[in-house]
Amino acid sequence: MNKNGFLHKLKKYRVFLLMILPAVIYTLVFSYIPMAGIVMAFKKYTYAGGIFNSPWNGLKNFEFFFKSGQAFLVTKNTVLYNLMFIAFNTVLQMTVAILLTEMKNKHFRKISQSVMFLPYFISWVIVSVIAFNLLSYDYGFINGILTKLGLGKINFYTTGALWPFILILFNAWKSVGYGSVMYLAAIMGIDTSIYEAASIDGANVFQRIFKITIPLMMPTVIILLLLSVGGIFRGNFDMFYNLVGKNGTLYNYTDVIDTLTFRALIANNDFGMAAAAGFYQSVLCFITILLVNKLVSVYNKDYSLF
Amino acid sequence: MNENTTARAKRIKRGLDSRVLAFLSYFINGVVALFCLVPFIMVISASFSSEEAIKLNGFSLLPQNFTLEAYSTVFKEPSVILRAYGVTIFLTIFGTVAGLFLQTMTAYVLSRKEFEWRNKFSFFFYFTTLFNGGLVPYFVLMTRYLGLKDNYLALVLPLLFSVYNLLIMKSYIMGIPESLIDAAKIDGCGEFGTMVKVVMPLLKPAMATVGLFIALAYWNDWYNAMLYIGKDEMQPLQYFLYEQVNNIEAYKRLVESMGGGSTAAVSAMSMPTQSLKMALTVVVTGPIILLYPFVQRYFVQGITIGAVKG
Amino acid sequence: MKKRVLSLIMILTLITALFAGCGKNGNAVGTGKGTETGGKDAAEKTFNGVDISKPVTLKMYLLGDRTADFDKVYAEINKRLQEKLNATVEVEFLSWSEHDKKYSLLFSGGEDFDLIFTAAGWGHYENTVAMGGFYALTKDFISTYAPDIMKVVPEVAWSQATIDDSIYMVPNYQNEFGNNVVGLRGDLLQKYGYNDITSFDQLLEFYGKVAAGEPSVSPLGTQAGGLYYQYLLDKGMDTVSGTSTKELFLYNTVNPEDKTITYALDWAGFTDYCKLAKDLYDKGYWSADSLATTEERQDGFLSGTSASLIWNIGTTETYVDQANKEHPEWKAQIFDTSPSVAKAVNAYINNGMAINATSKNKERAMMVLNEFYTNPEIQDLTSLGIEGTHWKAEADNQYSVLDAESNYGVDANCNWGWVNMTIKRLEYKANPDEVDNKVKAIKDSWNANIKPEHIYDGFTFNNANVSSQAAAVETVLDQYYTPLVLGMAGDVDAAIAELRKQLDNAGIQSVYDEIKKQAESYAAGN
Repeated sequence: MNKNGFLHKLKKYRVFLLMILPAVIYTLVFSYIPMAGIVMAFKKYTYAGGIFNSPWNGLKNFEFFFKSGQAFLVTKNTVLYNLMFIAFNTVLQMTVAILLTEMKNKHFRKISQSVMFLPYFISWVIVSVIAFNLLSYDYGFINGILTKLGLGKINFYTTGALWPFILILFNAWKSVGYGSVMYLAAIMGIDTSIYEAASIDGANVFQRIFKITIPLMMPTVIILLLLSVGGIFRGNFDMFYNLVGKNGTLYNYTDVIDTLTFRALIANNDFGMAAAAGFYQSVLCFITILLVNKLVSVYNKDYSLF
Repeated sequence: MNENTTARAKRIKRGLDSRVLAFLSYFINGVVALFCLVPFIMVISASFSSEEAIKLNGFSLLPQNFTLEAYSTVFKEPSVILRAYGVTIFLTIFGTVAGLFLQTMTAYVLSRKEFEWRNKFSFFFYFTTLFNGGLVPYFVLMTRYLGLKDNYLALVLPLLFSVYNLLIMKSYIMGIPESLIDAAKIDGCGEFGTMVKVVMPLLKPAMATVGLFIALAYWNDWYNAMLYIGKDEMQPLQYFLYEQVNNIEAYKRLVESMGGGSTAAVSAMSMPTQSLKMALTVVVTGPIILLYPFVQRYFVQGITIGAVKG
Repeated sequence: MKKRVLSLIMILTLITALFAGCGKNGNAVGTGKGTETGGKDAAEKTFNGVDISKPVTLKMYLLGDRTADFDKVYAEINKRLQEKLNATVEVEFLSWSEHDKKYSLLFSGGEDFDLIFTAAGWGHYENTVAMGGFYALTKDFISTYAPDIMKVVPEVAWSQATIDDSIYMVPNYQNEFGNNVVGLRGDLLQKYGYNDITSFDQLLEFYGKVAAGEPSVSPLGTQAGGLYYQYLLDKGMDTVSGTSTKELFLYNTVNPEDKTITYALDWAGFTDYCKLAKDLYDKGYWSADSLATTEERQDGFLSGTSASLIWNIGTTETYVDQANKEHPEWKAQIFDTSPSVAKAVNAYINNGMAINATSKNKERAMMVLNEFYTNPEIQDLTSLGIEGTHWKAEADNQYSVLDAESNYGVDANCNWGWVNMTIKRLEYKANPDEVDNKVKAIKDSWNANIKPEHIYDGFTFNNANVSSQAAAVETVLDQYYTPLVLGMAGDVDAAIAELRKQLDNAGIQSVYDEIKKQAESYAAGN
């Protein structure tokens, strides 16, 4: 009976299944087969043994992370930074996208939209040079201004408490153009007849934004939030590594899981330990996303990821 | 804003609310755009500055000791760079078209409410963003089992399908009223027909967005080329440029490891690295920025249910 | 896909079988003038009594980038190898941008190759050994297939290359001095009345005058890291080699009798230095940006914002020459700040060649190394290029470069793994300037006073048994150690106490015990 039901559904959904088949095969080959490599987190990897025949070593690969004494700190930093990035970027990108669509001057709109994309192309390596030009104690642009104003210099590179702000700003700056495009597309998909009805009813522009535009953007906003939450235990290595580098005086404020792992393994390139750190992040991300997705689907099933 | 609404807006006397909003939108976006523009101008200036000037004075808004040295290094062999451009353009076009179609089709299926297993499949795809086996097994799969060393497929396949884009696309499709799809069904379109004839035309902004993201991923990818491409004539642009910077840094490292002191070494020492990096940024970004307005064409608001009739 | 690969392999084996069986040139790479490797000749081809009748092509991986004339030069080399060993090499490069990632992937991916460049510390040696990537070379194997190498390479080099009782690389053989020298601005020396700098204290004294009197020039700029090494050199201490020990473990290198391994935090000299560093930093000897700079090491010196450059002698010479070319008025010069201290020769395993554990032609690979290492003609080719095109022979086995913008370069083609100073040519300088003379004088004084060998000079620590602790220690250093050595950690005693606590938590004791254990057994075995 049950089997029958399954076969029946197979037949009923055959067109859907056929349409989804290429992506399923792709994912099986390129994601699920290599996923077997997760076992490296529990092995002492050797070249001769490869992934499957290297000897098991239990949880030994996880030791370094908890021995470092920084495990809790870097995990906390990673999550807090990601939460701040998510909050700040979402608000900024939504604001920019909504205001872009409200601009009457077509040329100004297009040009500013293109210009906002520029930072996306500047690699973090170059950003770090720009940052150094701004923040350096001896030659920095900011300290130059402070000196001219007769105020004292700020030593940015030894003052950790300032770095959350610096990192949030750089992160927002780099992703604003790229991120706002997604919200723009969502706004463009809104049925214009709704706006017309609203303006006939005498709604003012702010009411229009808060009552129509933002609620109708919500599916996109929530999907993007969920996707970000799914990576909440992963730090943006490129950014942290290039902006902070080896400057240990800032680590209490700027060290994230990925930078700590990188430092630990730079001397002995241990695949097992790297896999272990990645696995730790994956498990935490997995638990988080299951919870958050559950919450979202209770609120509205259509908004959930799966 | 489409034509009707702007015309209508002009007819309605603009109230205080519109003026406040106009001021806000120009002010905020102006400030953000300025912040984005200034550093890039610095990068452009630095690419035209002499190496010594950058090291001595840092960045500035205008080139210091104007020189084309960095660009002459980049375009040392124009034929090579043109070929690299060709490779990149081909990969980007091919990858974007194929990837966009694959992702849209998959997203369409996942968004159809009558497909009972859609959440299971969504999870099947999403799970791969949480767990992965790392570089080693992927590399072994690509080289040993699929034999894709020095094969353009090694540059196309890894970026062909992105779960993030898939789910974003799905959320856009969710925004299309069910009634439109049902109407198409009544008109006798199959699922595939509905997707191509009804859904895709309504998805222009979304497809432009996702297409842009896929194209950028292909355009900027040097990593896969590093892993799988050994032949010089197959190198895409980004990797070719990336290697050039490293060539120079390699020279410098050589001098350090060798104890240097030889004449050849000294001439290598004064080669540009900072300005070269900046020039590379400009060379890579330029074409994309010029293309961007074409993408923007699709960001036109004007979808009304009334406009689509079966 | 798999099927296609299989059939390809089948076809390839067939072709090789065909070639091996017929009397034509066995090798596409060989040139027309290559010897006939026909059935009859081939059967008689031997090397040191070993049959080499089967022609092979060896795949060799080097680091860096292929120079324009590389293939031309290697075609010449292959002619000679073909003739002598019935083998040719095919070279692939791992460029600087990719070698960190790809080196290990070559082994993981089961790439079929024979020879690869390696180096302790910076060239993946210890890691690859730990994961079983290299073939272990027994003394027997070396003397059978590379008898001439055995005659050249000194015992200490082999013992440096030994990890867990096996040798995995053929180290290069040249006396490079690892210690740094100091390049200083001659005009400032004159201004403050110095003719020469002959001690560490005098150097600090001069720095002090610069710090006080030159508002636009910092004594060290953002590069104060090198000062601690000058201090260690002055005190006759050296660091234990091996991964992840940084400067935490030291031994008294100038006294061969002293076999203690000192933990830096238990050494009074360390505390003294940290206090000195704090004092100097507070007085402005180096910049507050030292921890964060994106500058390269030589930038400050070349742009005139820093009065000194501390680096190895060759690199310092290069940049001092460049500074003098751009600013003749600076009269930059090089100084050895501890002239009376006998100098240590760099570990020979700083560059070397290894054989892939899965190579199908290990014996022939070793013979080829033997040739690279000990055949003067090939040594010249790999290091200088083609005679008459790239370089010209001078008297006394010297050379001069024919074309400074050469397409091959000097020592620029990753030939460092087989450098052999007994046959390597030196550069001939027609008109030496002041800096050249000074460098020569310093090198002569060093060569005349090479420090007696200490048993630990050849010891390399292998952290495999304490890898977790070593990795945890590594995470602590940037945060608690580096700022301390740069005098930027505030109150020194408190900062040292904090560093000690962090290191204890990370498990430094197990690392220390393991180092002592290995060092003792090493000393006992040698």
